Amino acid sequence: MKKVVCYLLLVLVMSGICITFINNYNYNIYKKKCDNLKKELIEEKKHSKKINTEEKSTQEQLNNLKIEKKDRIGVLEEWQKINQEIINSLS
Amino acid sequence: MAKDKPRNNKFFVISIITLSVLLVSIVVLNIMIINKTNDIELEIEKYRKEEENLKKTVKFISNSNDVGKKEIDDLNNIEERITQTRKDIFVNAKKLEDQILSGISSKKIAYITFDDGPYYLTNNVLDVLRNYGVKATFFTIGLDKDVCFDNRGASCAGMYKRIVDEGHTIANHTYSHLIKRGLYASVDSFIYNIDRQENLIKERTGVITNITRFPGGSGTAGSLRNGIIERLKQKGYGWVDWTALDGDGGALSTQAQAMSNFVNSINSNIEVVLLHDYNYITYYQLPEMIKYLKNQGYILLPLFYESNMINK
Repeated sequence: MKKVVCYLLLVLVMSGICITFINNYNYNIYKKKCDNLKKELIEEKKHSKKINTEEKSTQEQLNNLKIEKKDRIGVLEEWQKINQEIINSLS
Repeated sequence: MAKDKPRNNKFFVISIITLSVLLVSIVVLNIMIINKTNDIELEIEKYRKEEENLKKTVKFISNSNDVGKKEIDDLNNIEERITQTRKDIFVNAKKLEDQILSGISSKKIAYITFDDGPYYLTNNVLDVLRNYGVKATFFTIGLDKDVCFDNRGASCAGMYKRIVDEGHTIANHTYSHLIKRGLYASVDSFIYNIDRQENLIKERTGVITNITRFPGGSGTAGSLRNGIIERLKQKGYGWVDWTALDGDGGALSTQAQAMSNFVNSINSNIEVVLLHDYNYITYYQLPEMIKYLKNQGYILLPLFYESNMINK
């Protein structure tokens, strides 16, 4: 009886070791995946920061241009309005 | 043999205990590994969501940035866009004129024109036109404009540029306008005045005009008229008189008289209105004239070379 228990335990231990290896392997895969994602996220954050800075600079440039060319924008808008009026009048 | 049995028993007991401890350790280890794996899975999910949100934000900002860049390009090319829109307007206006003249359309067009400027009221007139969103045509001269100033102290010489910058048509009314002092002495003297004014306009505005109006009207040229027209044609110029006016070139004493003259002269579907940007009565009455034309259904435009109203 003891012999049977002993062998049964041995089988269980061996199976346990196998399962541990499998679980550890899974863990390593997930860990690697997680590390890669972390790296990607850091890169994405850097990219996002760059894009943000670029966007801010674009907006600033745009606002300055809008102020600088305010009169010309007015002239263009007037012309576009007149053009539309003529187009609407065409048969 | 009898001695071996207890020894075997002891061996199995020790083995069972060792294996049991080992098994428990393995189970504990596995639980720990599984827990850690679960934690990492949660972390991965968190990073994924974070990355996804970040990507969405980046995409949104990138799009906004692209739109901003396009707007910057558009603003940097605003002069080309104005020029193109102006060209489009003239193409469409010509079509509309053709439809009006052939009776297909009952729409109306009026070309408001100002002669003899820039003068001391030009800036005021330009203000009125801007307030009403109206584009007009200025038949400019050049003589004495460097010694002419308006009530704001602005030099008439600087007003050519404002006329062009605000989208009005700048046209050639000869340099001197001296009808009785040599302008119509010969075809050459007239053309000399045209060339001189053309150069002045080009120098002050960068615009090369190809529209002119005879000072006093084409009839004033008398026997030189056909010769001048021929030379103008050779130079690529078109010319125009007028079909309506308020009489501000002659004796005009009240705004009511100006308005009456103006209203009585408006009777066609396409009108070229003659006014002067040196006349106070015209300046004061201009808003009413604009309102009258708009109420009558006229579209107010600046003259352009391809117009049917320009003689070529």
